[in-house]
Amino acid sequence: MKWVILLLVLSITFSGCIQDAPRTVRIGYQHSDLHAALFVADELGLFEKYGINATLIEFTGGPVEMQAMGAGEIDVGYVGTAPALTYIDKTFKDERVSAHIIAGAQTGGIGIIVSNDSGIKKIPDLKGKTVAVLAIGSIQDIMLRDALAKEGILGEVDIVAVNLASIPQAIASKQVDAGFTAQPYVSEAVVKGYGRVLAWAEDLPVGSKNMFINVLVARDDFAGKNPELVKDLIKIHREATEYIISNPDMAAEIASKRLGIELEVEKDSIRHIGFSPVPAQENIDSVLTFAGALKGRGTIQNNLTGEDIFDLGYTE
Amino acid sequence: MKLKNLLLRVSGIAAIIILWEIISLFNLVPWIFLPPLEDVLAELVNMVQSGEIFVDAGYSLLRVGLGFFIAAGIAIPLGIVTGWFPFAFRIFDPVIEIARPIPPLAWTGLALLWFGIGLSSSVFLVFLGAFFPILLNTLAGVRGIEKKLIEAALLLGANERQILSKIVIPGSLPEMFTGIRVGMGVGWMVVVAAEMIAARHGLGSLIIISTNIGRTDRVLIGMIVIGLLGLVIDYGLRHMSRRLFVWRELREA
Repeated sequence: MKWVILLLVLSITFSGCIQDAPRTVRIGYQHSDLHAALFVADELGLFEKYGINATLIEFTGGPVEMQAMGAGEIDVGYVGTAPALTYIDKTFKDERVSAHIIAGAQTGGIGIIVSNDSGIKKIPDLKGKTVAVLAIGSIQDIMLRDALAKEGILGEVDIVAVNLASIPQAIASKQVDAGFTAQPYVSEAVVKGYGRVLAWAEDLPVGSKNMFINVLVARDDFAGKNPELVKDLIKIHREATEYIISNPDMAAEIASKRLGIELEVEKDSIRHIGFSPVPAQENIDSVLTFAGALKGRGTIQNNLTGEDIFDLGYTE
Repeated sequence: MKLKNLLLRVSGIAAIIILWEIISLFNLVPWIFLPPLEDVLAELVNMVQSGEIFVDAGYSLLRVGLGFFIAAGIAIPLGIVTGWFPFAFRIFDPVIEIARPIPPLAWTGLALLWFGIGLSSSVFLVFLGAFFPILLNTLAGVRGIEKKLIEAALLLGANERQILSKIVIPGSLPEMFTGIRVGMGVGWMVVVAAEMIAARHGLGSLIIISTNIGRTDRVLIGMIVIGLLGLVIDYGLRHMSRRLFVWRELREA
């Protein structure tokens, strides 16, 4: 009986291959644990399992990753919700470049760190200080600007772009007073004693425990031409995410290997990220709330609806 | 004849505008690649009304101005000394030759480490960009003074100080001015790049922030303002040099 099932599975897998060959996809990502599902999928050989030839392309930040998507350099991207939304806002009416969020990647996992001896205890204390973010226009940058604007100190804080991995060192060497970074670099600062967490994203005005910090975005022209492939990508993403939830230590090992970060740091880091395989309504709602906040601040121009932003039709 | 000249001068710009309009009219490229000229102009009006564009332009001008004046203040005296005294030339020439080909932006990392993130690091980068053109042109000007003039002055009993102040410095002014123009141009290029790396305001920062949030209209405004300001500054300097150095043009003619 087992053999019959195996044969059946194999034949289905291979028939899939033959149907829409060549099944190739270019996936963008960044050097961060927020994209751990992609590393796990790759290490577990899930792309091969589904007969997909995936090329993974690393970017230094979300804005440049979305620019690459606009230029047609990548088909799908693991990317911060803010760059995804600012891109969708400028392109949703033009099907030559438009894209949709096809799945959530994770919640939480980004935080503002300050050095241990700094007197910064709350957001208003950032007045007159310098804060590093990985890129201007990244989710960290946009959440920070929103939080500073609500305190009325946006004009009095220097926000500078610093390479994600260099933020802990920039704080340790007093180049900056605080840094808004992503896992594993928040955990790295804490575990290695560089600093402490001033706030996690969920503590900020626009943040919430349910908010997707990173999402999976696909270009509409690619998804339209390869619907079965995109469905499989989401299956792979869900399998990898479920694997992280049930084997956090193994996932930490994979992330540690992929990012070159100590295992101890990775174990702490993975624990602080919310991995959820299926987007729930509250996840979607919190992204819409975030889009509303961006509109209010003038970062995006349109009142984007759920349909403009999400295309969850590929989730089975 | 004047009208023809004027027509020729505007025709290049007009051709670009027409091409841009055609691209927008037939929707040949997505908005994010090239927004219509009307959208860009409408946003420019917004930015003028809110004063935002003046703040950014002001910051860039301040950084260029400071970096440029510090550069000129050091490079001109150093150029005269190095050009006039052979021992100074032997000391400084190797240093200059090694430092000169290093692009100012290669100093970015050190600038951030030494001066931190803020006004002084971008001023330092502008300084580096403007320094070498001014220095090298001054040096060339001083060394290029006709020996006959100096010999004649010596024969007439002039001392070294008089030769420097009456012949060498005035004689090398046109080259100095060329260096100043080139230095200002390089300073402009450097400030925009420096602001893209770390700055709160400025035209470079406007461009990078707008690029990152997909506001191509504002990117184009930043670029156009940089072009126009550069043009105005260079025109001003050229006009000044023509008035100051009438004698040279007369001699060359």
